[in-house]
Amino acid sequence: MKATVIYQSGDHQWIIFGRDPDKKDKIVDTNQHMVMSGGKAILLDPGGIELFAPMLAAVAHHVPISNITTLFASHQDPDIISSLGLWDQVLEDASLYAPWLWEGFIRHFGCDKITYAAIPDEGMDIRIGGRTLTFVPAHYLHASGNFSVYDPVAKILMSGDVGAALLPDDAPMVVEDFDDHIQYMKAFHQRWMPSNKAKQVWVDRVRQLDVEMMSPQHGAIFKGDDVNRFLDWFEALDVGIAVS
Amino acid sequence: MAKKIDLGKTKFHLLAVSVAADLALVKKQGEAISLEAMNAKVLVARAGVLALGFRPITDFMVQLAASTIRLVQEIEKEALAVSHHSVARLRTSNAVQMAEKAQALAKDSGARHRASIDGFVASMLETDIQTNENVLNHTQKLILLLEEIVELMMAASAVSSSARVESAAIDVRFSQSFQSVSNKLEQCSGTVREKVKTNLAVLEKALSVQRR
Repeated sequence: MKATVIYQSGDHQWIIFGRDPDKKDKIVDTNQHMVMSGGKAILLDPGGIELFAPMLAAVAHHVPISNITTLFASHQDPDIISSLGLWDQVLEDASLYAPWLWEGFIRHFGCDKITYAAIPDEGMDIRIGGRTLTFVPAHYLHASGNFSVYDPVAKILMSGDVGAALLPDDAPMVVEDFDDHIQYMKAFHQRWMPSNKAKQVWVDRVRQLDVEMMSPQHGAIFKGDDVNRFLDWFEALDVGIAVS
Repeated sequence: MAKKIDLGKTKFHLLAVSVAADLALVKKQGEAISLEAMNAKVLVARAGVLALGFRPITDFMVQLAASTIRLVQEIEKEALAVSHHSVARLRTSNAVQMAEKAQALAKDSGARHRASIDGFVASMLETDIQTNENVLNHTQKLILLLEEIVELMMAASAVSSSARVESAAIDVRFSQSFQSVSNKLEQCSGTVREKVKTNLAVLEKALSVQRR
């Protein structure tokens, strides 16, 4: 599995794991994020069962597994968190931060040892080592209980399924040509995102943040001006098309 | 249903529930014995001194019915425990398999912190072994309960023979009715023995495969 360090300042690091060459064809490609600070690490949307072994091996390149103290699930989908039952057998004294709405559902993946820390609808801040991460509400984008993660120091927004693109296997990790990139994300957003109102609330909320990188759970990272390009594009896009 | 399971690929969680489902018939037989016992009690009361020898037989039938129903309930509980521990075993085995795969990947790719995987793989293996022991222990308990039913039914068969002899000695007005009770007891006992023995054989074979 490919690991890309997208931010580093002292012991504060953001790493993306993805583009697994051994991934089965019919499984959608996912980006798993890890944020490290002060000897602690959090995995953001740690992924599905199928990716657990390569993900665990990839993480061991960067941090002792016992340093993973926290998991985060933006929502309940299997590609986000179906590996939970396996992490549950590996991690000692870890917590899973996930929407309160999905607790009874996510626990079906197996959550005996890991503590389920329910995120309230309005979001919350947590500390990882010496850094603060903010869980930003992204409800209905696409799940009815959904969060993005913002790091105000690294100025990175892990946007979950917002900004996701279904790319060819050899696609670069960073969006190089925004206009060309639209073809890989338009249908996804039109179909997966159900609510124009929810979309607008999220766009307004994100515009208040200082974001230099927006990193989705599928596809490529938006950097610099492409973050605003994405917000403008998304704002103008009519979503929830399956009902029309 | 249990007979069709490929023992080379035995999944105890499926096997246990299939045994429990199969034994629903045994419970029905227990209830049938209970009804026959009530019937026999009425006959004994009506026959009075003419059927004094049959009274202990009806008492035995009441006890037999109660024991059969209680054992089937215990079997259902134990089968659920086997199924529960077997699913837990599936999970621990799967986790061990995945962790060992990660261990190999980390080793091959020279991961800096690969030793941090080794520690918990060892502890996961211990958990897996313990979970497997739980499956085997509960399966063994299940087998013992089934054997208890077989023994009970063998006793029932012996008693039904005595009942037949006893009914032949009873006044002709009641003899036929008592004969019928004895035959039904023998029939129930035979049906239960056959059903339980089939399931016992499947479980014993699965257990021996698993222990290997």
